[in-house]
Formats: sequence, C-alpha cells, structure tokens
Amino acid sequence: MKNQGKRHITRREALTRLTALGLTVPVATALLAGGSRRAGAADPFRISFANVFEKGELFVQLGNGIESAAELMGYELRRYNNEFDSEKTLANARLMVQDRPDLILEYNGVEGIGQALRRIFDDAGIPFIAINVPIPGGHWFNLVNQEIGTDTANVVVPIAKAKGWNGTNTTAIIIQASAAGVEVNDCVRYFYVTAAETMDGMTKIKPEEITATTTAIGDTGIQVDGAGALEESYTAVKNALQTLPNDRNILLYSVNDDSTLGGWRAVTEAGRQDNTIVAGLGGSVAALGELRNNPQWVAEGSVFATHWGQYLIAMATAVLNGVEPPPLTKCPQLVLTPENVDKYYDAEGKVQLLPPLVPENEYLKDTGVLQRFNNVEGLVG
Amino acid sequence: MRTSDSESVTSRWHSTRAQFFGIGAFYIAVVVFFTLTSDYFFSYSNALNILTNVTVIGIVALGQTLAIVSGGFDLSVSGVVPLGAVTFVIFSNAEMATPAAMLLAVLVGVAVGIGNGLIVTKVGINPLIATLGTLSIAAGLAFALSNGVTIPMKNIDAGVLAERTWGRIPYYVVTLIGLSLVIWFAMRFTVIGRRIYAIGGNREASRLAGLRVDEITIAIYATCAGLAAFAGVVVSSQLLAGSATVGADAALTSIASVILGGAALFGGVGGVGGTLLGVLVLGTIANGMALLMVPAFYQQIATGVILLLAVGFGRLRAVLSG
Repeated sequence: MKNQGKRHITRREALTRLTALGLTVPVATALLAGGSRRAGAADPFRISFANVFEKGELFVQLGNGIESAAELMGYELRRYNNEFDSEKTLANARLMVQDRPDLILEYNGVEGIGQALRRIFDDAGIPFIAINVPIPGGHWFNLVNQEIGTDTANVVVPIAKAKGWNGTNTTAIIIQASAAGVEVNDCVRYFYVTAAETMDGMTKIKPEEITATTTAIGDTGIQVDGAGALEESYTAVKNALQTLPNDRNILLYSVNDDSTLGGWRAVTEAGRQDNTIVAGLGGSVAALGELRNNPQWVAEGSVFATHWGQYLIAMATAVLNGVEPPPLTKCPQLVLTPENVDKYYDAEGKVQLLPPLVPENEYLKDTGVLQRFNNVEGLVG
Repeated sequence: MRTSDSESVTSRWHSTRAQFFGIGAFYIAVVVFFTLTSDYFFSYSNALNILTNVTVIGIVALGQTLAIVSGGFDLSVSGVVPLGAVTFVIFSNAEMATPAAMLLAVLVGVAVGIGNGLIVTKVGINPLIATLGTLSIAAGLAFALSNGVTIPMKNIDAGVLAERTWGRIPYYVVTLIGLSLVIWFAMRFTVIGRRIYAIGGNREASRLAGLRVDEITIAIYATCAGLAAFAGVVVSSQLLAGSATVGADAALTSIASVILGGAALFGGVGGVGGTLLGVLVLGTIANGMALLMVPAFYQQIATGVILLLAVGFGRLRAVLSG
C-alpha cells in the first residue's frame, strides 16, 4: 500500500510538473517575446486586420489602404477576409489571436456576434479596434451617419427654400436599406427630420419614429426600401412616384450612391428631374460626376473610405502607445458641394485632400502618422 | 403505348389550361382588389409602370420556361443577368456600336448556357448543382469585371432599348412581347417545340425515339442564358449603368413565375402564356403593395403567401376538374 501510494504520488508529481512545464514554457516565451519587442525600439508593431469582405472596390481599397499605411510605418500586417460571414469572422478571430499580434483591426459585418468576438480578444488580452460595426469593450472607428444626414439636409434645404419649396408643394423621398440596421439608416432618418424642422409645412417627426417599417411620413415624406442597390432603388422610387402628382417637388436622398443613382434614374425616366433636388452619399466616381455636371445634384456626402487606412494605423499607434481614444473615433467625413468638390477630389474621382481633423480626433495628430501622408487639411507640411 | 403517351400529354395540357385560367381569375381578383384599395393603381401610367417593372424578369422567365418544360431548370440566370449587364456597358463604353455590344453580351450568356448544357448532359451533373456552380462563376465574373462598382454608361444613346415608342411604351417592353410571340410560336407549332415537351415528359423515351436529347438540352440552356444576358442588357438600358448587383433574385422569381403559370417542376408541362401571367401576377402584387405603402418586410411575406395560395388553388382546381 505504501509503495503503491508512493508510486501514485510520483505519477501525480510527474503530471503536475509536466503540466506546469507545458504552461510555463509558452507563457514565458510569450512574455519574453513581448518584452523584447517592447524593449527594442526598432521592432515594428504587429497588427492583424480582418476585412469585412474582399470583393467590391470599396472594401478592397480600404484593405489596401490599411496595408500601405502599415507598410509606410514599417509595421507588420496580416490580412484576413471575413467574407461577410459570422462563422468565418469568428474563425478568423481565433486565427488572429493565435498569431499574438499587438493589436487587431476587426471589420465585422455581422453586428450580432460582437460579444463572441469580444470574448475571443479579451481572453487573449489583445487590444482591438472595431471598424464600422461596434464591438462591446473595443475601440471604435466609424462614420457618423446621423451627422452626415443632418449636414446634407442643411445643404439641401436652403437651396429648396430659395426655390420657394415647402411642405405644401414638396415631398422628401428617402431610400433606406432596411436590412442594414439602424445605424446605417440614421443618415436618411436624420436627413428627413432636419429637413422637416427647417422647412415650413413639412410633417415633423422624431428620428426614432422613423423605423424600418415606416413608409409614409404624413403628406411630406415617403420612405422606400432600396436595399442599398441600384436596381431595387430604381424600382422602389418608380413605384413611389406613382403616388405623387407631377407638379410635386421632390427631395431625394438615400443611404449610398448606388441607391441614389437608381432613384435618380427613376426620376429622370419619369421626366421629373426639373423639380427634384438630389443628394448622394459615398463619394463614388459616378456620383461625383453628377455633382459636377448635374445642376439638380446639389450635395454629396463623402466618408473618404479609401483613406481610412491611414486613420486606422494612426489610431492603432495611439492605442499601442497607451492613449485612450474617445468612445468613437470619427472617420473623415464631409458634405461636398459643386463649390468645394474640386478641392477634395480630382477630375478622375481620386482624393487629393482630406478634411481637417475634428477636435475629438486631435489625438491622432500626436502619433505623427497622418503627417507622413501629407494629405490632411491642416496637417499638410 | 402511343395512345397512353398521347393521353398523358392531353391530360397535362388540360392541367396546364386549368392552372392558366385559375391564375387568370386570380390575377383579375388582384387587379380588382388594388383598384378598390389604392387611388393610384388603376391608371395607364401605373399599368405602364407594372409592365416596365416586370420586363426583365419576363425575359428571364421565357428562357426559364424552356428549361423547366424540358425537365431542368437554370439557377445561373442570377449570375448571367449581372454578367450581361456589366459586359454590355463595358463593351459600350469601349465605343463599340450598340448592336454589337448587345450581341457580344448575349453571346457571353450563350457561352455560359452552353457550359451549363454540357455539364448537365455530358458530365451528367444534376441541373441544380451545375447551374448553382455557374451562377457563382458568372456572378463572380460580373464583380471582377466591374471591380464591384457601378459603371455608368458613357454614351447614353446605348440605352436605346429604354427609349419610348408609341404610347410612351419603352422598346424593351415591345421586345419582351416580340420574344414572347416567337417562343410561344416555336413551342406550340414547331417540331423543336414538340421535342422540348417530349424531352420534359420522358427523357429516356425521347432518347429511345431517336431524338437528339443532349443537343436539344444544350440548345435550351444556351437560349435560356442568352435571354438572361439580354435581360441584363435591358437592365443596363433602364439604369444607364452596369452593376454586378442587379438580377440577384432573377432565378427564384423566374422559376416562381413559371410554376405559377402552370408549369410542372418535373417537366413536360407549361407554356409562355402561363409564364407571362405568372410574371404579371408577381409584378402587380409588388406594385400594388408598394402603392399601398406596405413595408418591404411584409411585402416579402405577403408575396410568398400569395404565391403558395395561388399555386395551391390552381392545383386543387386541376385535380377537381380531372
């Protein structure tokens, strides 16, 4: 019994030692590796980036922008593709933490899995920045749809009022993308709310009262669902126009340029372009062309998505240097008009200047990253 | 044997007619309902609106009718429509003459269709899997060619199909009517039409009877995809732009229209008249609900329920009438 007991203790001890060794070696290695990287000033930061999708010019350019910004800063970047799919996104998150980067840039397109992502990143103790779609507990970089909708209305309404338009003769057609969620559709909701507040006779409504299922807003607003796409928006606006007398003036606005272009095509096909004012959102080449050449296209919201990379790398640098960013770091965004478009975009639709930093984003300046690109208004050397 | 086949064909023909008249009656009910409930529905302008809304799906559904009557079906149309749309605009922007750009876009579709036909007949892969694969390839190609962005048409004269003719009717609606007549005539009065029904009715018996089943099947898929690519040309003409996002629901809506119009998924039954009626029913319901300001979510639900009810009543009527 004694011998057996002694043998048993020996086995347990051996197991315990093996387990301890198994746990200690990687932890010590990781600590040493981390410590040595932090200690060596010349060692670059290692960043992992999961793009929401690698199809579509916008997403690819966004990813390429992050890659080239990281390269310019001498950082090591690994890129993943979430394919707009929740399981793929979680699998990528697990792969990324295995690689032990210093920071993760997560562009997740599926809002509901934020908690699961947070758990993976928190368990690994790796700081992360959520792009566009927020993740609880993480830093967040995004456009502010509410502001861009409000700002666009503030450009459009004075032009409409100067023509004598008001609630008795004008209807705002807003094209939502219901499946994209509340945040994305804030731009059209706040566009209508702001227009209604500043134009006489428009049906006033609270933003939260315009939901995905809202269709008519009194007699002065119609919300249709264009699914964020060209063809669907064209059809939806075409149907909506049937309910409006031909002499009714129209304010047209939507969640993105494809939608606006589809809606605008329906308007022109119906021969109603002369009493329609339109505003786009996205800064696409096609929409910028309309802004420059079409007198009815009076405003174009741009969030300069192709240049988010330099802001994200600046933000990552700040976080890795111990700076606590504001709850939301706003992307560069601006409502372009025919008067200022040439300042920010060249004739081929390429960005030549980015708008100045908003006060909350001043911390990005301290990283010195944006200055290296020499394209942000106020930071151009 | 011959008598039995003949009886079977006659029985199917009666079934199709019963379904056709059932859906016709349902369509009248739909029109009456929306006329009573919406101030904007019953007008020439809105009738034209409905016609212009259904043209793209109508053209796709004509090809889908051929595929379904022959005992197959074609999911790849959801990829071929955007591929046709994007290639047409690219060719047009490259300063190619509009008819040539249209022809080349259609030929791109025909090439996809020939691929479908070869995979189904020579490799022996089920049409569901074969056309699902080519759907993905064609849609991916459309995204790749357009870089995922909308390409505006540089020369808007290339959108000639959207120009209006007599009664403000666009040329593409006239084209749909013309194509429908040609395919209706071919299916009803020509040898090839009879053979398509025969293959759909009994593929093996047709083969044993000496029909060149594989060649006819390849031709059917080529025609179906060619029509889908042409539908893409029509969308581009409507929008004066090419986009890889158009036509995403073309496969499901066209199949639903064909079935709603009295065709059977197992083949051998169906026709152009029923298909067009099915297209009109779906398009009119969508239009009516939009005029009634029904939210998009509920429109989807209502369309699905109405589709099931219409087909269910049609089948019931066919069974009751023997």
